[in-house]
Amino acid sequence: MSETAHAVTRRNFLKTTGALGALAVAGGSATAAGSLFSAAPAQAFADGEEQIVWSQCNVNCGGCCVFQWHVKDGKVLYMETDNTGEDALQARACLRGRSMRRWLNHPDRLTQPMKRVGKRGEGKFEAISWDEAIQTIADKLKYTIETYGNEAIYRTYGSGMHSVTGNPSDRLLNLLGGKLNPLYDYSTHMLQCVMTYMYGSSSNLDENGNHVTLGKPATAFSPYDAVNASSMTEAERASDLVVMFGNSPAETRMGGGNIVWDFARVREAVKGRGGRIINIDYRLNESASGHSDEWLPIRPGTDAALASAIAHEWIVNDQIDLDFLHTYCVGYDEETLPESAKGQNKSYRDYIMGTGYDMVEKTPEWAAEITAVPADTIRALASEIAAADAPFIVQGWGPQRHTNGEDATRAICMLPILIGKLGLPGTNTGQREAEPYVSLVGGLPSLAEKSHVTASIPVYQWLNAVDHGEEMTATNAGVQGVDKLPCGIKFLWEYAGNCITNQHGDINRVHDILQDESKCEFILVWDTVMTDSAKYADILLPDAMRGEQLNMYTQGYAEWYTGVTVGGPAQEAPGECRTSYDVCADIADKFGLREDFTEGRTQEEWIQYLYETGAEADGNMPTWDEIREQGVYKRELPGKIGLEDFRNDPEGHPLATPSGKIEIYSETLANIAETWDLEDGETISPIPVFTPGFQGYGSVTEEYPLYAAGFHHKSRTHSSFGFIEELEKVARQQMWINPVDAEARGIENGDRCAVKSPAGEIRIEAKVTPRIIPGTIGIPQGAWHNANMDGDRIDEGGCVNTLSTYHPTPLSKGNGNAHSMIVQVSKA
Amino acid sequence: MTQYAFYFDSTRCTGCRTCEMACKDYKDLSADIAYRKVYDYEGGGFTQFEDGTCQATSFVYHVSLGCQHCQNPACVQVCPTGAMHKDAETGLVSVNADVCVGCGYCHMACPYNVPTVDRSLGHSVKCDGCADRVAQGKRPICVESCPLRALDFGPIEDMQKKGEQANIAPLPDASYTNPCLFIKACDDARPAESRDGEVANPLEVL
Amino acid sequence: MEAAFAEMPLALFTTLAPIGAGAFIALAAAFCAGSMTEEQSRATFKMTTIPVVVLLVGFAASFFHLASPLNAPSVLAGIGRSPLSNEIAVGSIFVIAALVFWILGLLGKLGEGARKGFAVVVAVLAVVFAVFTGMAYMMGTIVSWNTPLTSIEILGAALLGGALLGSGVLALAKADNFEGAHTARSVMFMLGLVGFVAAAVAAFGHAEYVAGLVSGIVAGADLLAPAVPYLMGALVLGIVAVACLGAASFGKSSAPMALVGAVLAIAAQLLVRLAFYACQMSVGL
Repeated sequence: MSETAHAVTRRNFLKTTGALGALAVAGGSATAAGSLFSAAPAQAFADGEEQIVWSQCNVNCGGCCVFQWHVKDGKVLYMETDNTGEDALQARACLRGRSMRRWLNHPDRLTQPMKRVGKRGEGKFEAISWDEAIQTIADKLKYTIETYGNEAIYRTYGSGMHSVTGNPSDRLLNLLGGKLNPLYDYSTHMLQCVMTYMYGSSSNLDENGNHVTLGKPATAFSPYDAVNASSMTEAERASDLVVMFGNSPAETRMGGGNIVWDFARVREAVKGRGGRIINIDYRLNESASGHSDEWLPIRPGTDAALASAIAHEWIVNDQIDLDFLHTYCVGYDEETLPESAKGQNKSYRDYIMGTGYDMVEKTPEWAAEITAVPADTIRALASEIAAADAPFIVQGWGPQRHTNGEDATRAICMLPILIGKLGLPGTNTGQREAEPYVSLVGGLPSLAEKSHVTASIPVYQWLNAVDHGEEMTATNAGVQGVDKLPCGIKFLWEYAGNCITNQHGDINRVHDILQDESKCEFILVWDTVMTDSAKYADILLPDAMRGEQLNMYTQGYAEWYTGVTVGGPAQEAPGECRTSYDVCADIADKFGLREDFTEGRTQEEWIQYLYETGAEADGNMPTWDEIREQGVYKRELPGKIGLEDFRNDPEGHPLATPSGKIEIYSETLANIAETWDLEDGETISPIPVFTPGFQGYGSVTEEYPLYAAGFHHKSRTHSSFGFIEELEKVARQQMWINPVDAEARGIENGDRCAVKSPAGEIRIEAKVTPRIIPGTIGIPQGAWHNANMDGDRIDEGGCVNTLSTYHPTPLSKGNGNAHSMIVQVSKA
Repeated sequence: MTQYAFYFDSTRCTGCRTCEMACKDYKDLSADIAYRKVYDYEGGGFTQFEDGTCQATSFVYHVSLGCQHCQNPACVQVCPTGAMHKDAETGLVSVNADVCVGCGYCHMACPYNVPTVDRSLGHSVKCDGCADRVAQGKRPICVESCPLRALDFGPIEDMQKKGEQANIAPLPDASYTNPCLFIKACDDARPAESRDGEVANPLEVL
Repeated sequence: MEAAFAEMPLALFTTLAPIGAGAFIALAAAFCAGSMTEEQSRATFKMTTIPVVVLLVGFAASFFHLASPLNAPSVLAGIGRSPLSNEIAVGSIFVIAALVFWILGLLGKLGEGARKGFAVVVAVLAVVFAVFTGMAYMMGTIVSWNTPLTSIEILGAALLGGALLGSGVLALAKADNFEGAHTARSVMFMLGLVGFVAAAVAAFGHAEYVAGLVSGIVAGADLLAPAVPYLMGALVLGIVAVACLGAASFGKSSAPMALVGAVLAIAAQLLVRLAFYACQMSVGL
C-alpha cells in the first residue's frame, strides 16, 4: 500500500531529479501505514530536489481548487495552481488558496492535545498526551450514552474540511449508536426547509424515488443539485437577460474553476447578443465591478416586496402565463387552490391584488417605500423581464438568510413561474444556479444505518437544545423524527467548524449558556488553530491539515465540469498533530470497534479504494497509478436546465409535492401555520408573501437606527483563513457605510467605529463608500471574535455574530438573523 | 530584443487579489510588501427621493498593477547606482541587489507605486516580471493565477493588440514613462488622471 | 506629516549640509572683503571647525536614509543620468575642496592670495552644491517637486544659515577687527538677508504652486494643509534669525547672537524641508 500511496514518479520531479531522489522518495513512504503520527515526507525529500505535490483547497467555498505544492527538503516553498490543459478549464485557486502555505506553517498551529484549565471561552489549556485525550473522550462518550442516550450527543455544523475522508466523525458516532441529527445547514437553512413545500419533499417519495400517491418518478427539492436549477452555462448558452437577487459569485464562488469564472463567460455571451445582466443587491458587489449599470440597489430583506410588485405589474399588464400557472402550479388563483382553501381569497393573485390576506395591493408604489427602489424602476424592471425571451432569474443564498427568508426565497421564485419561464432553454427556476451532477468519487461511508437515533433538530437549534432541549417539540421547535426531544445536548462534538460561537450567532448568548456546565457537560473541539469556538473546548485536539496527508476530493460546487484531485502529503504535520481518521480509529478501539471503523483499511487505502470504485463506475477516469502521477483529472459537463423534465412532461415527471405540481399555495404549510406554536409576530404563510421579519424592515429605532447585514468577504471562507495576516492586509475587515450615514456621524474612511446592536458591540474600521445603499451597513462575516468575555465584551475582532440576535425563523428555525440586524454606529 | 508587456482586462477583474497573493506566495513576501497590488477605484453616489427611494450613480472597478516595465522607466532614470535596470533581452526592469544602496529614489519617482525599499533586505524590491519563469518559457505567476483570466503577459506586439496602453484612472498619463501595460477598459472606467473617483483602499495599497 | 517625518534623515541632510556649505560662502566674502593677519586667519580656520562639523553631520545623516550604506560608493554610477548621482558628485567635490581648504588653512599653508582664491573656488562649489541638492528632487513624475524653487530655497537658506555661522566663526575667532572687517560683516549681512528673502519667497511660492496642483489621487491643497504651520513657523524663526544676524553684524556680543541665529536658521530650514517632503505628489499613484 505505502508504495502506491506515496508513489512519486520522475515526472513529478523538476528538472534535475536523480536516481537518489527517487529512491529517497520511495523510502520515505514506509512510515505512512499505521503510523501513530502522520506520514513523514521529510525524509522523502532528503536530497534537496524540488518536487511537485498535488493537493487541493478543502475549505467550504466549494471551489475545491487545485494546488501544486513546490516542495523542497520537506518544506512547501510555494504553490502553483492548476495549469493543466486548456486555460478555461483550470481550477485556479483564489487568494485564500494561494495563502494556504501561510496556514500550514503558521506559528499559531495547535500542535498538542489539550484539556481546558480555565473557564469555557477563556482559552486556558494544558497539554496532555494523546492517550489521555482519547481515553477522556471515550469515557465521556460512554458516560453520555449510558446516562442520557445517544440523542444527547450532537456534532455541531462544521464545513471546513472538504475531502473524501475529511470528516470521519459521523462514521464513528454512528458506529456508537448515533447522535442527534441536524436538519438543513447554515448556508441554506431557510430555503432548504421551505422550498420542499413548494417544489417537493423527499418525504413524498417511496424507496424507488416514485411519488407516493402519483406513482411516477418525481423530483424532490434540493439546493445542491442540477435538477431544481439550471447551470450558469445554460445562461451563457441561451439567455438574453440574467436577473440576480443577492447573488455574487465573485465573493462566494471565487476560484478559477468556480462560478465566478462561469459568470464572467455568461456576461460576455449574454451581452454579446445584446442582452443584459441585472444585479439586485444592497451592495454594489464585486460581481458587478466594472459594470455598475447592472446594479439595482435594494434595502436588504425586502426582495419579496420587489418580487410582489413585479408580479403586480405583470398581472395588471396581462403578462403572466396563465396556461402555465394552471397546468403546472397550485394556488396562483382560485381555480387551482386546494379544496380546503377555496372561496377564502387565499390565492397568490388575491395577495398581490389586495383582495386577500393583508388586503393591500402590491403596487410598485407600495414596494417602493419598502425596498427603496423607485416605482418607475420597478415598472421598468417588470417590463424588461417580461420582454425577455429567456430570462435567467437566479438568487443567491443571501435573500433567504433573513428572518423573513422563508418567504423571500419563494417570492423570488415566483417570477419565472408567473411568466412560465422555467424548464426552457436559457431560463432558470429562480433558485441558485445548479451544482454538479457528477461526482467522480464518493466519501468515506458514514454508516448512517448503524444509528438508532431518529430525532433531528434544525441545525441552528442546537443552542436551544443545550439550554432546554427537553422542552423542544415538533411544533414548538421544528424537531423531526420524534414528537419531543428526550433530553438536551450534553456532549458537543465539533470538527473543522467554528459554529459554536463565531459562525453561529449571538455569541454573547452562546457564551452565557455554555458557562453552565450542567447543561452541556462536555465539548470536544478539533481544529488546526485556536478559533473562538475552540476556546470553549473541554478537550481540544490538534488536527493535521490535508497538505500533511494524502488528500482526495472532487470539483466541489463548480457545476460546469467534474474532476478529482489526489495528492499529498506535501509536508510533515507539526508537533503531535494527527489525522482525524487515525484518531477516530483509536477512539473506536476503546469501544472494541476499530475493525468496524477501519474495515481493515488505512486512510490511504480508503482513498485508493474510493478512487478505484469511482473510476470503475465512471469508466473514463485514469487508473490509480495514473492519477497519482498526474494529480488531477477533469472534464467539462454539459449544462442542465432546471425542472426541464417536469416542464416537458408534468404528469410523467411530477414534483414531490402532495399535488405533484409547483405549490405556490402549500396546504401542508397552511396546516403547519395552524398547528405550530409561534411567537408573537411570527407568521408562516402558505403562499410567498412579504413580511418584515424580526429586526427586518421597519424595525429600526432611535437607539438602533440603521439596518445591518453580513456578507461574504474575499479574505476569508466563512471564518477559515481569518487569522492569516497577509490576507487581512490586502482585504481589510471593514464595515461598509454610505457617505450619507457616515457624514451624519462624523465618520471618515478608515476610522475605527463602534457598532452596537441589541445583542452586542463590535469595533470595526469604516469603509465609507457609495457602493452600499443608505440606511444600511454591511459587515463582512467570519472575522474572528475577540472580546474580554469577563469584561466589557466589546468584540475588537469585528465578528458580525456578536451583533446578530438569536431568534430562529418561524418555520425552519434557522439563522435568518444573520442578515437581519439593527444597529447604531459611532466613531470609536 | 523582445520587450515583454502585461495585459489587463478590467471588464473581468473582480478585485479578488489572487494575483497579489499568488505573487506574495511565490516571492515569499511579508504582509507589508507586495509586488503586485489591486487598486479599488470608486466614485459616484446616491440621489435620495422624498418617498424614501433612491437611485445610484455609484461605480467601482479595479486595476491590478505589477510593474509596467516601462520603456522610459522613471525608476531607472533616477537610480544613482544603476541597480535599477532594464534587461537588454526582455525589457524587464529589476533591481541588482548587490549594487542597490536603498536610497528610495525609485520608490519616489515611480508613478505606479511599484518599487519599495525593503530595509530588512537592504535594497529596493519590485516585480521583476517573474524573469526566472519567463526564461523557462512560463508566464508570470500572477498571470497563471487569475481566476478570471484577466491577466496576460507576452511580447509587447501581442499585448498591444488586446488593449490600449495604460490609460485609465487612477493611473497617470502613459506619456510619463511609456508603460508596457495594455488594458481593456470596462464600462465604468474613467480616463487616466480623472477626478471622478478615488482609490478606495488606500490602506491596502498606498 | 507622518510621511515627512519618515524622511527625517533626508531633511537633516538637506538642511545641515547646504547651511554648512553656506558658511564657506560667507567666509569667502569675509576673506575677500578685507585682509587678515596670519594669526587671525589661523584662528578663523580653527573656528571653521564648527561649519565643517555641521556639514559633515549633514552628510552623515544622509547615510541613515540608506538601506545599504555600505553600497554608497556606487551612487556615483549614475552621474549625468541620475539627479541624485549628480548631487552626490557635486557634494563630494565640494566637501573635498572645503576640507582641503580648511586643513591647509589650519596648517597656515595658505598665503593671502591663495586663501582668497581658494575661498572663492570653495564658495562657488558650495553654491553649485546647494543648487544641485534642490535639483535632485526635480523628477518629471513628482509634479510637486519638479520646480527650480527647491534649489532657490535651499540656496537661500544656505546663505542665511551660512552668514550666521560665518559671523559666529569670525566672532569666536576674535578675528572681527581685521582690516575691512566692517565691510565683510556688511556683506555677510546682505548675503544672509538676500538668502532669507530668496528662501522665503521660494518656499511660499512653492507652497502656492503645490496648492494649485491636482492629480487623479490627491489635491495639492490637501497635501499642503498640514504643512502650512511648519512653513509659518519657519518664517517666524527666519525673521528672528535675520534679526540675530543684524545684531551679530552691527551690534555687540556678536558670537552668541550669531550662534543663536544659526540654530534658529537651521530649525527654520528643517521645518521647510519637512513641509517639502509632506508635499510629495506623484503624477500617478
